[in-house]
Amino acid sequence: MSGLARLYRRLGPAGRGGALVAAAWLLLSLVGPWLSPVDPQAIDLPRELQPPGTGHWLGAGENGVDVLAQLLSGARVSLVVSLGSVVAAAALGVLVGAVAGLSGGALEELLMRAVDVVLAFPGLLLAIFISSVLGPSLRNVVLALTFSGWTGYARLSRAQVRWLLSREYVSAARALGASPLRIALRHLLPNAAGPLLVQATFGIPAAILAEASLSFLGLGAPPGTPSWGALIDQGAQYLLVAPHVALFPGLCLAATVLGLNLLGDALRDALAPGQG
Amino acid sequence: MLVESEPDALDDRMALSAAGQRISQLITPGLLTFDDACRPVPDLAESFVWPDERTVEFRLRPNLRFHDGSSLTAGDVKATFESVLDPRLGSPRRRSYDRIVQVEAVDERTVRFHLDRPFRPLLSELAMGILPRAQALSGAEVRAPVGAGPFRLSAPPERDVVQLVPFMGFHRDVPRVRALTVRVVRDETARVLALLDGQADLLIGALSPAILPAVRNHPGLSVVTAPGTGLAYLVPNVRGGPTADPRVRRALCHAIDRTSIVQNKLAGLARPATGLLPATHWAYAAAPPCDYDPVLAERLLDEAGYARRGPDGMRLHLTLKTSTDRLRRTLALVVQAELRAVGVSLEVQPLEFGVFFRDVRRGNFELAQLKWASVIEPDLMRAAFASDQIPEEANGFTGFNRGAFRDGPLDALLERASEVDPAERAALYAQAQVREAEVLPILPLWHEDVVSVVSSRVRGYVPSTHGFFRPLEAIQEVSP
Amino acid sequence: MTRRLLGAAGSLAGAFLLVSGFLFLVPGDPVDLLLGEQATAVDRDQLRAAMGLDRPWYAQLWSFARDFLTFRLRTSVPPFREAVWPQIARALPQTALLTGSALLLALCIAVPAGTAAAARRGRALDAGATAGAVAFAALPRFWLGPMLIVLFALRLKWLPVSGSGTAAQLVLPAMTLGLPLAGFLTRITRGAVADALVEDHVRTARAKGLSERAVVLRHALPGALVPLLTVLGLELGALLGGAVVTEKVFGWPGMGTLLVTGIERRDYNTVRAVVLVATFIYIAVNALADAAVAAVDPRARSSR
Repeated sequence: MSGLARLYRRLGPAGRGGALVAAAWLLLSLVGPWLSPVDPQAIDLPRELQPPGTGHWLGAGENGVDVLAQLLSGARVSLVVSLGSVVAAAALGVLVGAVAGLSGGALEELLMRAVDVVLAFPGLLLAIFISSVLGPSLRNVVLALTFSGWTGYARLSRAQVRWLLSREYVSAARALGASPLRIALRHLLPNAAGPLLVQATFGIPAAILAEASLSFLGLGAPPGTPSWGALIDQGAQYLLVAPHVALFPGLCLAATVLGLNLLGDALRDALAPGQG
Repeated sequence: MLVESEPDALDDRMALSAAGQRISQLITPGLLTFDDACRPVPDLAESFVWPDERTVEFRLRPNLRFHDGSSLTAGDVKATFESVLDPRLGSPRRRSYDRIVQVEAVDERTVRFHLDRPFRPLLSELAMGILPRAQALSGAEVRAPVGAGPFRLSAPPERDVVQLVPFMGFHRDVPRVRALTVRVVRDETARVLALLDGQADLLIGALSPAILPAVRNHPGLSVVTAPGTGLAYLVPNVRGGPTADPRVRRALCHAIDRTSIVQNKLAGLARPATGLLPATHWAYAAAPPCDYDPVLAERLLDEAGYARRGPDGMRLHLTLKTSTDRLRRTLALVVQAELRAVGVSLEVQPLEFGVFFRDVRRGNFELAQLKWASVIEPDLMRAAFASDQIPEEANGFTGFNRGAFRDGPLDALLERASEVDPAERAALYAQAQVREAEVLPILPLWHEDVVSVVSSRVRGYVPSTHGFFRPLEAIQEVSP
Repeated sequence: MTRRLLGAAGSLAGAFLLVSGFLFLVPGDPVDLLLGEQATAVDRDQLRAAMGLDRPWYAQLWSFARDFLTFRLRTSVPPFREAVWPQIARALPQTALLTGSALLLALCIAVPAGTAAAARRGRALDAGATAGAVAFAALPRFWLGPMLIVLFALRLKWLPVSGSGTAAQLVLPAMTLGLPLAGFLTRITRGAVADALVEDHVRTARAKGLSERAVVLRHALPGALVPLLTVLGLELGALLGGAVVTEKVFGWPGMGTLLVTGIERRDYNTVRAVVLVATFIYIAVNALADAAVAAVDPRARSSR
């Protein structure tokens, strides 16, 4: 815990703000849906599209769904999808990178080419493509984001592995018969933890934004599922009469993404080589 | 004028979408049309009679002209109908004409249709647009039809724009506008803004009630409504699965609160439906409606064997396919919420129009949300519920009984009703409606009003209860 | 140089294989994926025949590649006769116009703002510009778009809501696509100029007595252009992804709309073709940017 406290102190004001936002988001995602007064999918036809007021604190959306309840559930969706895809992408990427670094030669070349191919796709396009084939569901979104997001971790882990392999004590350990797994656990992970953490802290807001974009395009959450992106898509239809429906989820999204990005920035500075 | 989706065809022999049919009516009218009470009235014909129960004869008006100046004669009528009867054209209307044995051009202005047996409803089907002989016999869908309608194409139709100008040789008063451009704007906000900005003058239908407030207050626009003959409904696939069980269908029917949806979601601009026909129809008969009764719905589901609930609290999972039209989607979500309350989890699948209609015609659905744009001919019941009207490969997937519903007694009633004369028909249809309320081939929802928005540049617009665009023939363009 | 070209070509080929062959990588019958499981036998057969799904995978890949590269590709929606490339030819200039305008807008904002912020490092202007840049960079485009619509088109009524064709209709989409990029580029520019300001040749210039302004504009800024150029190439990817969303918000008839409509219509061929064309352009632009950077700045040549 003291390590964390020290880390927190090393973050600048922007970074601390970002950490606060991240914590708030985490908290709301986990606890929020229980706190919310109504079921996010409960309809309330007489109060459809009403502006914020009593009964619906942030207003009502299409069919009278409570915007606040949808925001809280949407936070959970964003949490699950982003954490899920980042963890899966990190696992996949670290594995591929480690294998590449350890085997060397043709296999390494092949795997790194695969990384290049995935990186060759502009931004969201690969995720859109994968989602379009698999169909709209949160599970498919996680899959799509995993397959478009593992490359950073792969490059990181390969670089770490290569650096490790060049260390004398590692080749000594190998000569003595230590298994690669042991080396990985004792040496690779502690060294890579810092950069991996930073990568993940940037990966999470990117995944949140990607899920929201996919849901906005109709490729993410199935209709009726609360998701910030889907809510904005819904709100965009009613801009003329109910702009609040698009306003609030967008603010949430922007604030969360901003906070996490600031945290990532500060973490990267705090964990810069020489201090990690 | 703005429409929400592109017309699938302007050739009235092929058009299935409402936009296609309504625009093509302006270009190529037919022998007859319908008044607001759903009775057939002469259009290109000046009169029609049934000399005997197997023959119907039309007498054309004199001096009818096509847009290209040629005369419209019985030969053109004959050619148009015969082209539909030819299976190679692949017209979805062919099924409706399978009673026709022969189309006879008795003289220049008289056409006789010979049927193989008595079939009164045919009259309603004969409202199809008439094409010139050359176009009719071309063997394929006509992209730029020539007709005898009040408007003609001034340019080849594009995907999103149809440009029309008044036809000077029209047999009634020529519309007093300079031009009528029909533009496809898929986004509803953009449609409304175009109206608010003065870039568009007309919108017939294609407007969600939720957005009406933005339009009502605008000084240059007025909202005109009329009770409609269209029907919004859900069609269950009876081929198999839970929806094949009549108790499940009845449960679903009772689980939906039509009154609340009509009041709150549709701003009162609809009437809850008990069956296919609206209350204003000449053949309408009261039948026991599906009142909103969730308790009864749950009991029926228990009886049907779906008493056990899973870990998510749901006893039954169904899917509902609908189009991507915004209003239909939100209505589907309302139905989803109402069904959840009785333990049925409904997955809503919005599909693009082309994909949606294909899936529906192919029976690739469990529940589908559809809408008859206008219900005029009570024989639609037979086209929609009779066992010989199921779309299959053998008939090229024409046929409107998309749920594959089969009921012997109903078949017999509807068959007989199509043969006898009007007085007896009403009685038979009354019995049919009672039977339909019992067996629920479809789940009727409501009859939506026809809501139109016109700008101050348009005078003389009187909406048709069928949502037709024909009233545009009588409008006049004025400077604001 | 040739190494770079080979690398790009390799990525291209890999991307092509991935996109064309993706359907085989996914477990399950491709027809199920494209049509849904309840599709009738007739439909399945028709799709199979039209797309040749019953042939071996290499035959399918070959026929797709051949059709794609010879511009003869047809949509995979019945009746399977509509040509794909003319649609792409119509849509591409629209997207290019939108993306180009957004880029221009972003540069016109970012370069002055970033330079000014770097020149006044640590002062109020810097803090303000950086805060603004960070905020804008985090805005999701599919939200920024509707908000701009509400403000400029609905409340102030200065601009039209959607559609394309007139210059006025380009403003909001370009702002939506470009403002987040402007925020991002402002930070990059600021960083690059700040770095350049401490370099030797800049210090020399300052020592020679040149005004601060001349130092910044004539000595520091050109050095900052190199990293900016590199970043631009990479950011094009995000811009293309953002264009899909922006086009949906504004009904802009570009590649993004083509892609989304293709997905809705289950038109797998159009979807593949659009993704491939976009990817090819991205790879090409990045290769060009790399080459330009190498030509301009010898120091960057050896890095990889």
